[in-house]
Amino acid sequence: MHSGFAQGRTTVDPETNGFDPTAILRDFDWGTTRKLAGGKTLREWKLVAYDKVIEIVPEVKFSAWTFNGRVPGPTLRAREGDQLRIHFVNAGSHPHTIHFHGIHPAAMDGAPGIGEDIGGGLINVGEEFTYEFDARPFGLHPYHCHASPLAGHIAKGLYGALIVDPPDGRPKADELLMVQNAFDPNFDEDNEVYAVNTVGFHFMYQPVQVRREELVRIYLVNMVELDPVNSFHIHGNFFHRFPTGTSLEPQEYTDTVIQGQGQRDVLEIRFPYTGRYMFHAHKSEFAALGWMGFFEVTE
Amino acid sequence: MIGRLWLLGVPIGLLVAVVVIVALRGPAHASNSGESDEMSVSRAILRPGEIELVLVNDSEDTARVAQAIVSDAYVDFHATSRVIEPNETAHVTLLYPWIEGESYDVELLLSPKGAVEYEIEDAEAA
Repeated sequence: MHSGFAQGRTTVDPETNGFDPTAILRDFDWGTTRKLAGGKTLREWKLVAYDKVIEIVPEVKFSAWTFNGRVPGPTLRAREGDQLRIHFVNAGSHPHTIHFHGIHPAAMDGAPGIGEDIGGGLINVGEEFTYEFDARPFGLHPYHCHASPLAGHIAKGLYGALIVDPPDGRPKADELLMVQNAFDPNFDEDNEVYAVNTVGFHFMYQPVQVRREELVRIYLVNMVELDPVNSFHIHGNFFHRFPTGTSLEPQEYTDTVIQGQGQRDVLEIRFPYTGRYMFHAHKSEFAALGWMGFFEVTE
Repeated sequence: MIGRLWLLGVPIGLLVAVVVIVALRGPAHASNSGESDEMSVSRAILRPGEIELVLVNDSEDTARVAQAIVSDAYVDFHATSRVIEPNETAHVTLLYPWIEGESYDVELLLSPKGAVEYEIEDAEAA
């Protein structure tokens, strides 16, 4: 055991939380799909908000608010132009909404006070609402609760990612979702645990498995509250950065990317050598508090 | 008269607000400072490469030390007992390369929740 790692058990048993940070990497939910007249594709999901105690680093519990019992919520996936229908059920203990980043009508924005005439806006406990809009623009977009107090509802765990593929897709790759998040289990307005996909240090003990020379595409989202910026740094390699994923031309070739709250990037990388390569927040405090892991590159 | 009643209402209102806030927060399992009357660090003994904390449980609940943080980094530790019964004391030793004369914020995260904080100023070997 090295100083700077969590004490005791190396990570949290997925059975404890009912979800696994490693599985979340490659768990893309394309929804229930059918073709509409005219050829358009309709995708439907059901997202249920409910309270759940989760373990964020061995032995430290957090009273989370979740979408479908996991943090981050399901990774919704569609192709640009698809029609999306998200059935939201508030089975939690407080009013919530789902606010999707993207282009859509005001009534579908999931903002309190907007769209109430059709049952939208703030969704009270026990109530339901269906958000419906077209998937655009292509890129990587977070979704999150927009109820007040906003920071509190997000910090509790009510967020996830919506990936909208370009009309003709992207080059074939091993794709990974990494949601940077953090938790303040003792409510002192200072996060004690930082992570990718919720469990601090998880990928130190269960490295992300990738293949040498295979294209790896990382969908990176920053949902950390209480801290204005976060970052992602990789050892021994460089990646192409596509800000927000809304262009097919990379904007930067680097080994470190800075993200503010709600910011996201699509990163593409190939590992030329086998071995273990660290990745972590280059805000060193976050790394030492859980936001670090390894890629393990094999033939 | 109405004006004087209004003045009387201010402190009553403040008292009610404080009671409501305390009720909503619930009983503190552990304090965020080392001065709690429930869980606290009574003193720290520094030796090369380690910080020994004397952790006192004056609460009515059993506490378990889950994790230890020194100046925003998780650190390894061992303890005479990680589970501390009410009115008992444990010695928690953090493995940390502290530097003489510097200051450190120590935080013990408890299981399943709560934390105890302690500040070391002007670190000096025992």
